[in-house]
Amino acid sequence: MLEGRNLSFRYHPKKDWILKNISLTVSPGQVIGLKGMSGEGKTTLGKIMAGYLRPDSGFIQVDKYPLPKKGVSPVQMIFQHPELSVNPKWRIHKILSEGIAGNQTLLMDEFGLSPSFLNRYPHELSGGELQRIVIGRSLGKDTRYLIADEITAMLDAITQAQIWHTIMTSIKKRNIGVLAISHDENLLNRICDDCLHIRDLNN
Amino acid sequence: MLSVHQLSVRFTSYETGLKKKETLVTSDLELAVEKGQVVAVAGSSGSGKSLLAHAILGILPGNARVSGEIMFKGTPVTPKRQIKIRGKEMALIPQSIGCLDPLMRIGKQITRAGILSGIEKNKVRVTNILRRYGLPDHTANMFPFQLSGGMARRVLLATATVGKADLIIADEPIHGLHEEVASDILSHLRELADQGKAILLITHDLSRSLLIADKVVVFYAGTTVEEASATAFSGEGKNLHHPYSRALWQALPQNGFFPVSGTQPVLDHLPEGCVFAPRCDKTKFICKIKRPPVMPTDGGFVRCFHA
Ligand SMILES: Nc1ncnc2c1ncn2[C@@H]1O[C@H](COP(=O)(O)OP(=O)(O)OP(=O)(O)O)[C@@H](O)[C@H]1O
Ligand SMILES: Nc1ncnc2c1ncn2[C@@H]1O[C@H](COP(=O)(O)OP(=O)(O)OP(=O)(O)O)[C@@H](O)[C@H]1O
Ligand code: SF4
Ligand SMILES: [Mg+2]
Ligand SMILES: [Mg+2]
Repeated sequence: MLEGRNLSFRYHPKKDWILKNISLTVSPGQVIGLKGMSGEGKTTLGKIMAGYLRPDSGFIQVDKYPLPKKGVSPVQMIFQHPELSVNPKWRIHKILSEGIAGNQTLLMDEFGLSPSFLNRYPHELSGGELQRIVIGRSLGKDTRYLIADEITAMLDAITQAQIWHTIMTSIKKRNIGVLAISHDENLLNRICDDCLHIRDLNN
Repeated sequence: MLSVHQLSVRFTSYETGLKKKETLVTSDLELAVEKGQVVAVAGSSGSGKSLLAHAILGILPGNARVSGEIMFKGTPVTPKRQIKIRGKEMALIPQSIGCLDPLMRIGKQITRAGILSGIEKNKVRVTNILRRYGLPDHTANMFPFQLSGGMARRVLLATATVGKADLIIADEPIHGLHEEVASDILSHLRELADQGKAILLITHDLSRSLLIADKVVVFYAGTTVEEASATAFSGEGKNLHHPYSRALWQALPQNGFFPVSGTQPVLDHLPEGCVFAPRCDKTKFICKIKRPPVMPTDGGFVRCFHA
């Protein structure tokens, strides 16, 4: 179980609290949806759950242990904007090798991408193509939980349906838990076991 | 206002051993938008929507080669003219929030865009435009990294609409925004069109774009496959003519969430005939050997033998 307990956070001691005493759990194999208005703190909460930000109070546990300080994290986060989460100077095969040890060509196939993209740089792919690279990278063998922040908003509907069918198969098979952040209610209704509004979590 | 005819974009790259390679990434793009109109551009990811926008503005990378015809206000667009009119007569809301200058405060970026578009420095109303997009006044003093995803996107909108451009190309302007803000932005774009501007709305959010669009142009694998009136996107999509347009409509989460097996062909290995033939359930022999030409329909045109 991925568990966030009594989390509070603000970006600056003089600023308002973004998150106040939030508790949240994601079970293996479960997809939890998270919605809310722009700027309400969804990405911030995601980053805390993934260990990118430290809460001012409260804690995170993964299957009863704290998040590991080094090595590959069992909690992987995929962001809204793929161009900000890859090294622009690396070719795609190098970017992928950060998360995936195995066969990259196979992975490209699974996500509907041409193996010839492996030799390109990030700016030589369309936004949606790059997002699929980032999603593939996050599904390495040590991944237990996935924080998916608006990950298919930049894909066409057909590719979006394909990607979610791929992700759902993969997480059900490997019992991965997902926190899916999205503004698209219709999408959340399709993929989630349960859907939360950040406003209702904040105290 | 703007028309694009048979537009193709190629990239040259050098492989090992300095062998020169040309990749054709879009071919035969067709599109037109008039004063007072909102034209939505929908289609597959990687089908050339952003490249089209960049080709119109003349901001493709140096290794790109463009052929075909772009007409703006009745005269052909040349590289020299592009430098003169971009940011002034035509403005782009870019898809990537990486386009904001990371080291410059938001207020200054908006002012700079306003000046570029020909407004006098002390006449650029930063606070007004921020409020127009529901952003708090103090956003002006923030740096891009301090903004949430949706706030950054609204700042991009502000920089493109603060000026006086007649053509606004919005590349995924409502991506990642919640319902209220998204509909607000869309109605603002509609207003701008009603005031006499022309809006090209590139978006994957087909259902929301229909709220304001007059026409929808559908792209697949670097080609325009259909131009339809916005009203054709309803029910099961029976009034759409191209099998890809129908599949796109039916893949929306609220319309069935149906994926189509297979993938968009790689652009440098396009099939000889119809680009959708490998995935189409209506494929006949002719589809595999011949490119379907543009054929007129009730609401626009279609590129399919069996429409
Ligand atoms: N690095 C930062 N420094 C200061 N403030 C920040 C920083 N990052 C985010 N914020 C602020 O924290 C608040 C919450 O931001 P967050 O990105 O979590 O929102 P969100 O719910 O994900 O919004 P969106 O739906 O637009 O992506 C916003 O008001 C934002 O301005
Ligand atoms: N600099 C480049 N060199 C080679 N190919 C490129 C380059 N830039 C883009 N491409 C290719 O051109 C095609 C069209 O890209 P474009 O960014 O226009 O797609 P798009 O329709 O905007 O997709 P999305 O909806 O995902 O943003 C893609 O397949 C992409 O890989
Ligand atoms: S031309 Fe043939 S293959 Fe192409 S979309 Fe039409 S029916 Fe399908
Ligand atoms: Mg966010
Ligand atoms: Mg694009």
